[in-house]
Amino acid sequence: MMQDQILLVDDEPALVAVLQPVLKAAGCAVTVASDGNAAISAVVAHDPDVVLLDLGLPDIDGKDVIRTIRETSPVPIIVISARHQEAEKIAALDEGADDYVNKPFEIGELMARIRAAIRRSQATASSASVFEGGPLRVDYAKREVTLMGEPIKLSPKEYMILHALARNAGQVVTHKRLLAAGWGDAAADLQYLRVYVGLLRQKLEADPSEPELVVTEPGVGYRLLVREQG
Amino acid sequence: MHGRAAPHAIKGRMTGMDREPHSGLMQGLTKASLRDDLRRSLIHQPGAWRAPVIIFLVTSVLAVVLQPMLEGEVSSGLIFVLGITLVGANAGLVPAVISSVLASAFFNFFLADPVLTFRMSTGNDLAPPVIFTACAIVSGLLAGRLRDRTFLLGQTNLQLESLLETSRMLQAAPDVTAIEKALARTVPGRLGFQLSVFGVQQGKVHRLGTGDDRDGDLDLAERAVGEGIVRQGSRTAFRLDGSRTCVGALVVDNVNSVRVDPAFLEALASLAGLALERAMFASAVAEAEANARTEELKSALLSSVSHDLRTPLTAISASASSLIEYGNQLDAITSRHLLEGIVEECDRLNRFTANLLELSRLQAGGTAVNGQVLSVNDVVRSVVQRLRSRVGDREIRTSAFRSDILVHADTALFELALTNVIQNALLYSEADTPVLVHCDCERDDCVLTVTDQGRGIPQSEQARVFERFYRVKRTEASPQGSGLGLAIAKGFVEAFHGSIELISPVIGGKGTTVAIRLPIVQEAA
Repeated sequence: MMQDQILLVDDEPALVAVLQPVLKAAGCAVTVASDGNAAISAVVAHDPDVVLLDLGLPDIDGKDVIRTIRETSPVPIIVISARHQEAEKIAALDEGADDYVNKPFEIGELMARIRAAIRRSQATASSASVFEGGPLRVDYAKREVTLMGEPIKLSPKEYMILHALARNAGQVVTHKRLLAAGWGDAAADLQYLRVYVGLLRQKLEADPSEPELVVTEPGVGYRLLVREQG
Repeated sequence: MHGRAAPHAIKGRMTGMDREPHSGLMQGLTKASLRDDLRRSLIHQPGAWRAPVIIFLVTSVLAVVLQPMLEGEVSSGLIFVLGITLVGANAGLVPAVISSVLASAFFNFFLADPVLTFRMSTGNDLAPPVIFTACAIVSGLLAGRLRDRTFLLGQTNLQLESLLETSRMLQAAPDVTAIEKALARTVPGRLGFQLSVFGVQQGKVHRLGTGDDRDGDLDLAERAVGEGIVRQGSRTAFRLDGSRTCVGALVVDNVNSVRVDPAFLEALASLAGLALERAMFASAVAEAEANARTEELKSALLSSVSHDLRTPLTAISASASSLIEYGNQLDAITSRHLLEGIVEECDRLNRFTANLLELSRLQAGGTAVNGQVLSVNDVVRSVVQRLRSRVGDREIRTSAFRSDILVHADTALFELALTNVIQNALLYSEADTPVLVHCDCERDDCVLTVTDQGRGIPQSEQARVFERFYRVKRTEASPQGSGLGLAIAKGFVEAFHGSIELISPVIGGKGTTVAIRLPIVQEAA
C-alpha cells in the first residue's frame, strides 16, 4: 500500500514535534511547513494527499492559504483550530477546507478525519455511484436509499441533504452547503434545515434523539458518521 | 482715544444713531442716545468733563480778553464757535450742545451790546448774537456727532475684535477646562466677570471645569436651559446651544457692575456653546477609543488564553493519545520524546498560568502585592539555577556581583519577572549564544541587565514589547512566548518604584539588553 502523503502546516514546534513522529508511525509520510507561503509551495512541490492546516499562522491568514491552494489543487484540507474560532472555522470551510479538528484533539480523532478525507477524495476521483457506510447505502444513480437492506422512502429535499452528506461522508458539511443542496439557496432559513435533518433522523436513526449517523457539529453544520471497518 | 483705553464703555449698538447712519442731524439727539451719552460721560468716564470745561473756559477768557483788540463782537463770537467745535470734536454731542447754549448766553451777557445784560438793544444788534447762537449750535452738533460716530465705530471694532479673539481662543481649547480658561481671558473675563460653565448630560445640568461653585449658579443655569436667557441681579445665564441640541449654560456674574452690551454676551455665549459641543464630541470620541482599546485588550486576552493554554494542551493530548493508540508501533526514542514533550508542555502551562495569576495580582495592586527586603543576589541565583536545569545546554552567564545589594520587592513577582526576561532572551537568540545576567549599582539604584546576542528588536517595536499580549511580528515559526513576560516585568518594577528599559541593538547591530532598575534599600545602621 502506498503511503499517504501528509503536509503538516503549523508554526508551533511543540505540536510538530508530536504529530510528525506519530503520523509516521501510523504509516504516513509527513512534510512540515511552518508558515502559509511554505505551505502553498509545498502543495505544488509534494502534491500531498491531505493538508493539515493550523489557522493561526505567522505570515498570512489561513483563509488566504486555502484560497490559494484551491486555485490549483483539490487536495483535502483539514483545518486545525480552536473551539472559540467558530467564525474563522466556518469561513475556512466556506473557502474550500474539507473538515476541521478542534484543539486540543486526540490522535484517534485526527486520524479518523484524515482517513475520511482521503476516502472522499478517492471516491470523488473514481466518481463512485454508490455510497456504503455501515448499515446505510445510497445509490446515487437510482436515487435509492437502503438501511440494513430495507429501502427507505425519502422526500426530494431529504434525499438532497443525505446526498450531500454521503458525498462528504465522515466530513463536516456546513449549513450553507446543505441549504444550497436542499433549497438551492445558501442563505435560506436555517430552521428549514433543522426540520429536514430531524425528519431524516426519524427515518434513519435507531434513536432519533441520540443520532449515530447524522450528527450535529454545533454552529458549523452536520456530519454523516461512517463506522470504520477493522 | 478715550474709547479704546476704556473698553468697559462699550456702547449700546441698538441706539438710533447707530442703526440709521444717514438720518438727520437732530435725530442724533434721541432720548436713548442722550441717555447713553450721558451715562458714558458721567458714570463711566468721570474725567471726560475736564477737557470740554477747560476748552470752554479758555475760549471764554480769550474772547473777553481779545475783544478790544479785535474790535467787534463778531470776531469774539468766531473764537467761541472755534471753541465749541473743539469741545464737540473732543467730547461729543452733548457737551457741544451744552457749551453752545452756555456760550450764547455768555456772548449775549458779556460781549453783545448792551454788555452785562441779556437784553437785546436794537434790531442791528440782534443779528450777531442770533447768528452766533445758530452757528454755535450747528457747529457744536456737527463736531459732536462726528466725534460720537468715530467713537462708536471704535467701540464696534473693539467688540468685533474681542469676539474674534474669543472665537480664536475657544477654537484652540480642546476641553472644558481650556474653554473656561479661554472665556476668562475674554473682555468680560478681564473685567472681573465671574463666568461659570455648565454642561447638560442626560437631561441633567452640572458644573463643568475647575472654577469655584457659587450659590444659585446651578439653579440659574437650569432655568436658562429651559428658558434661554435668565437675568437675576448682577447675573445673567445664557443657554448654550450646539449645532443640534442644548449643550449647557453659561452664567455670567457682573460683579463690578461694569457695562457690557447684552448682545455681545449673547454672541460670546453662542461661541462658548459651539466650543463646548466640540469639546463634548472630542471627549465622546476619546471615550469610544478607550473602550475600543479595552475591548481589544479583552479579545487579545481571550485569544492569548486560548492559544497559550490550548497549544500545550493539544501537544499533551496528542502525545498521550498517540502513546495509548500507537504505543507498540512507536520506537523507544520517539516514545521518550513524546513523554518529555508532555513534561515540557506541562511546565509551559504552569508558567503561563503563573503569569496570568501574577498579572491579575499586579492589576489588583494594593495589598495583593507585598514587598519585603530581598537580596538581589539570592533572587538571581535561584532564578538562574532553576532556568539552567530547564534549558539544558544553553549558557547563562552571571557577572560582577556585589553580595549586599538589597531591594524592596515581592519575591514571587521578582523571580517571575526575572525568569520572564531571561526566558525571552533565551527564546529570541540562537542556541549557541550565551545570555548574560549582570548586576550593578548606579547611585541609589540596583541595575540588573539581561543581554542576549539575538537579532534584536526593531526600533518601531521597542515601545510596544511591554504591552500585554504583544509579540514582535516575525515570519518564521514563533517561539513559545505568551506576550505576557515583559508586561509582567514592567508591572513588577513599576509596583516597586523601579523602571525597565530596553536597549537594542547592543553591539554590532545585534542583541538586546533589558535593564531593570530598582531602588536600593540601605541597610539599617
